[in-house]
Amino acid sequence: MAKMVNFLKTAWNLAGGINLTIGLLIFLVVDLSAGFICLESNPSIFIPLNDVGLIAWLDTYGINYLQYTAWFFLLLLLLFLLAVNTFVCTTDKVIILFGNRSCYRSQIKFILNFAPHIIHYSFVVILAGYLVSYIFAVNLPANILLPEKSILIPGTEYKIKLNKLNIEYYKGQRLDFFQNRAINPEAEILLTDKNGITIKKTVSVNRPARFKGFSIHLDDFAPKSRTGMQKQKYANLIIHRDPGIHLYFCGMFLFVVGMLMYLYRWYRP
Amino acid sequence: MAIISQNIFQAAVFFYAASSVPAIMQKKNAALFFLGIGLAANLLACIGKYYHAWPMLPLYTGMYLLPFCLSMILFLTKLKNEQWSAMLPVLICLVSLAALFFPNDHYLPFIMSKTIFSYIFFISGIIGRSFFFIAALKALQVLIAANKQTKENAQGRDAGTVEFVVWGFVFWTISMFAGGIWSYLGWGSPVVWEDPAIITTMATWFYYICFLHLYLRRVWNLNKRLIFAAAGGILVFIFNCYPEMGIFRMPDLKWLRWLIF
Repeated sequence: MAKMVNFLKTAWNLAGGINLTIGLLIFLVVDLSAGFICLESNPSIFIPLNDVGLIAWLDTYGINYLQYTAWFFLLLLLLFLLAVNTFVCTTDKVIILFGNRSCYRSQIKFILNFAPHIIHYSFVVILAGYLVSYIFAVNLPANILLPEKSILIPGTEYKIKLNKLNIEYYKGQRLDFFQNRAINPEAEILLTDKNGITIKKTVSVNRPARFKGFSIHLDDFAPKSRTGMQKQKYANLIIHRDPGIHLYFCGMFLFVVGMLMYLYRWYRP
Repeated sequence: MAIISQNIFQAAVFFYAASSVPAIMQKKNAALFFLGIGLAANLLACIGKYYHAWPMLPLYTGMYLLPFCLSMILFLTKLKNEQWSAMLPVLICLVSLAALFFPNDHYLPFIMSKTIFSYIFFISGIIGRSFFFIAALKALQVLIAANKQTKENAQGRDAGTVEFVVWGFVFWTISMFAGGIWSYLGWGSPVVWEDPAIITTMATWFYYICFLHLYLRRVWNLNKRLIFAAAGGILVFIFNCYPEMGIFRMPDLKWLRWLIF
């Protein structure tokens, strides 16, 4: 039993070691440099990663183009090890910090000492968010809506219908090449749930709509220009359900809070 | 408007080059004077480029904004010592020449860039890059000075390298996060695997995380840490500046001919 405890203690200390952190970070930089070369020469292998999800991608593109994707497998391993290392190291430090709580006269100073630990924990939360995203997210690209026609959101009983497509065209003088081209498209959509309740939402570029856990993004539309051959009006939507996104944004928010606390501590008189 | 911006930028390059000459000759005030004019011209050229593309983002103009940010940091931090006045204006001159002879801003702006997050992503990234370059120069400066002095005198001095790295890291992180939000709003995912820039951005981030750990935990000695910070400048250039540069093109200097004849 004592041997087991000793082994666990040694493993814990090794997992949280600073030398491991440095080694992993240097390996990550080298691995990502190799990844840059592979991605730049073969982007078509990596683009489907967003559409099909991590597991399906690893099982298909990942395995079949191993000479271009090996760096990605290594990246996953290195990020996992870094997350473990960060968690162990930070937990050790937080325990020590709580143990020394009585040494701090000022409550603010005590709280500010958590800044690097907030940053470290939020890094782990961001990585967890990514992982959840890539494993559990549902991505439904190419949902083409024609005016007054409705389609079902794939895999659900929810209906989606394009009510109106309002396109604002550029009328200014500064962008000659943009004259009469769409600058602000807005698709007004009607979303009906399985109880027949319909709600109206507007989707625009960089302004997605949310409905029953789905986010609906405007990917493409027509007509893009007021002049030339007039195309049939349509809106192409990306429908996305991502359970990891809240975790990811929460991690980002905490990371920024931690950074601001750290800067305040750094410059505090 | 675009042509006027380009001509003003050419004037900025001229003044940046003019400032590097007195900088090498250790004439600080003259160097700062020309640098100030270059900075003002560079600012006007960047405003012109933004005005031209507004409300969209003029992508691929990072190399135009970089010398401006470097000069701005130089002025704001009042780094007027001899080493600075020689090294930084030369770097600013080289970066602006790279933007002039290897432009990559002929891509049209696109409506997806019409969001505050794309602007934060872009501008914050350039500011971060500038801090990393300055940190690299600072480290190089200390390494050169340490070579001239005895080791004892050089011990414990990093001349503020880490402070620049910290600020660079803060802006780089903000840029990455803003990019993630923009990517999610526009494409539905915080990481879009169509652009290799995502990889180089991550690599740069991890590199400076490594540096901060080396510094804050004192894992390596000062000399090695400074070499690491100086090498960071090369890495930032290869990963983040080189991909933004286009092919070699001679700048159109019609206005100069008109001025002369």
